[in-house]
Amino acid sequence: MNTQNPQTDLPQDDIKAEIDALDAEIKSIVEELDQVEKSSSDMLDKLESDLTETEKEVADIEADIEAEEAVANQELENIIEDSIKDVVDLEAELETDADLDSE
Amino acid sequence: MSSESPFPKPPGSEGSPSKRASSLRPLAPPPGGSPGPLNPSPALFTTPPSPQPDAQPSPFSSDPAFVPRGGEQETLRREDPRSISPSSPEGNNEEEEKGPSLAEKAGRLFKGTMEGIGNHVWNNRFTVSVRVHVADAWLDMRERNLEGAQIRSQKAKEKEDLYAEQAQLIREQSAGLSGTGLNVNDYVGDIASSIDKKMKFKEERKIANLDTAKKHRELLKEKEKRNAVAEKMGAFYTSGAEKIDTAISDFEVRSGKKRFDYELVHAKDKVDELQRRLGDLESKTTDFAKKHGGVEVKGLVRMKKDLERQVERATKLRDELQARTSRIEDRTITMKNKREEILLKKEQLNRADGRQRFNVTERTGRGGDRSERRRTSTESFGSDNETKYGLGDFVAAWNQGYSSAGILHINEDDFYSSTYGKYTSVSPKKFAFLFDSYLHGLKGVRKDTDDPEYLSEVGWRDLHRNAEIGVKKFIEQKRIGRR
Repeated sequence: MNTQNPQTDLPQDDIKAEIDALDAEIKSIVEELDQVEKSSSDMLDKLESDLTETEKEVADIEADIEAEEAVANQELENIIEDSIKDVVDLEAELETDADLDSE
Repeated sequence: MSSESPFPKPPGSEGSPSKRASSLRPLAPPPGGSPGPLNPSPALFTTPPSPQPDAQPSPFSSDPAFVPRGGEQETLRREDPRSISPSSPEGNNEEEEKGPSLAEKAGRLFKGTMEGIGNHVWNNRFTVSVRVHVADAWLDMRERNLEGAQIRSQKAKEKEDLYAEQAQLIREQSAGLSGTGLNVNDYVGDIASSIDKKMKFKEERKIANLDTAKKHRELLKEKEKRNAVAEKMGAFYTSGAEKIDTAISDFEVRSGKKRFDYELVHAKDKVDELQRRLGDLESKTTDFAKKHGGVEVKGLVRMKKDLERQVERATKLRDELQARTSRIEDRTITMKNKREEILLKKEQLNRADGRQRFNVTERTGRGGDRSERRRTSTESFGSDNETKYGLGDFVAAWNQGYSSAGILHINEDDFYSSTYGKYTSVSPKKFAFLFDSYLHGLKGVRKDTDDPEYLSEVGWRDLHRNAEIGVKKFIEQKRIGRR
């Protein structure tokens, strides 16, 4: 004889079966969640690791460019210095020429 | 016999024969000669360089606190008492008579130069282009000075012609008087002495001219050096940008970022779905509890708590996925921005260089508008001399190739540049680059299909081949104008 639930008058076994079904569904969802969590986490880990590596490459390229900029700046600086010196010399020479012209 | 000259004395020529000789005036104005002073105007050396066509007001030009590199010259100008008392009654020394000193002129020019290039000084990152500008300014000034020297040289030549003419005249006059019995020896002697002096001047001028020519050659060499530096740096920027581009592409291919992007979206969708199902389940348990007399039902309390925990976990997981994905996206964009920054530096250098490296003359005429230049500057991968393809062409070719395999179509939004917008025109090389990177980036994207063959490398190669055939066919059609 089935035990009756005092509040619902439903057989206890039917209630248990329904609860078990709900429980099974929860477990299935939890498993899926575990799977999604693991796969997405692995993916993101790899992506982040690759990204870090690429960032290092980009930083190296930037450092190379900066070093090259420093060299280029120094070369341009030298050209500017030479030019300033030449302008000063040339101007002094032109002043001498002007003296010569006035004779 | 009188030693007096038989010629009428010009006004003011009283005194010694040498004085008379030196006061001899030309009989006719020199051809094309200018009566102006032979000395170039001091303004020649102090005129600031022409403003850049698109120069913005310099943020530094009115900033008293700004002292540019080399600005000590400007300071010198301000402090030098000579610069404020050239016409003072006491200022009768030689320095004051010459006007502004060399240091003053250099200071003024430097200030003018720095103001002229102020729009480039706005960002200290672009030091190479600023220095290219400054080097240009100095080289330009040297050129102007040399032009001054050439003008003097021309005038000196005119003088020489005049001396020769005078000498000839004296010779003729002497010859004409030789039979008159007048003594013209002294006068002729003075003239000869004057001519000797002028001839000496001529010799000195010749030497000076040689020096000027030499300086011209040096100036050209310096300009070549400066251009070489700008050229080298421009090439370095291009190669740097390309390297970064390759690194980013490699990253996206190596890590299969496109596939990850897809799978992450899929994962987030899955989490959403689970969350929804958990929500439904929670309602079910609540209904069940109500129906069966509440939480007294055995196992229901535990179930409800478990459900709540799982819902919370699913929410947290979805947020975490979202946050991590966003961070990865931000980092990728930062890397892409670095590439754009380098290209911007190159563009800045090109402007400083004064040469248009942007090959847009075919479509827009000289230089093109700013947006056109910017767009073209992103296309550093391809040969600039070849036909450009629109992005629509690329998409059409891709879809044409893939439609034969009956699968994947793309849209233009997949090619979005944060700085330049969509690539609306691409060279064949860039076209191929986009094609390859897009193709590799998408590798594995069809994982949701059930067809195992499709997922195999061989199957993918077939797809690749189909698309490639489509693109090649398209390019060929485009070239022979049948499309």
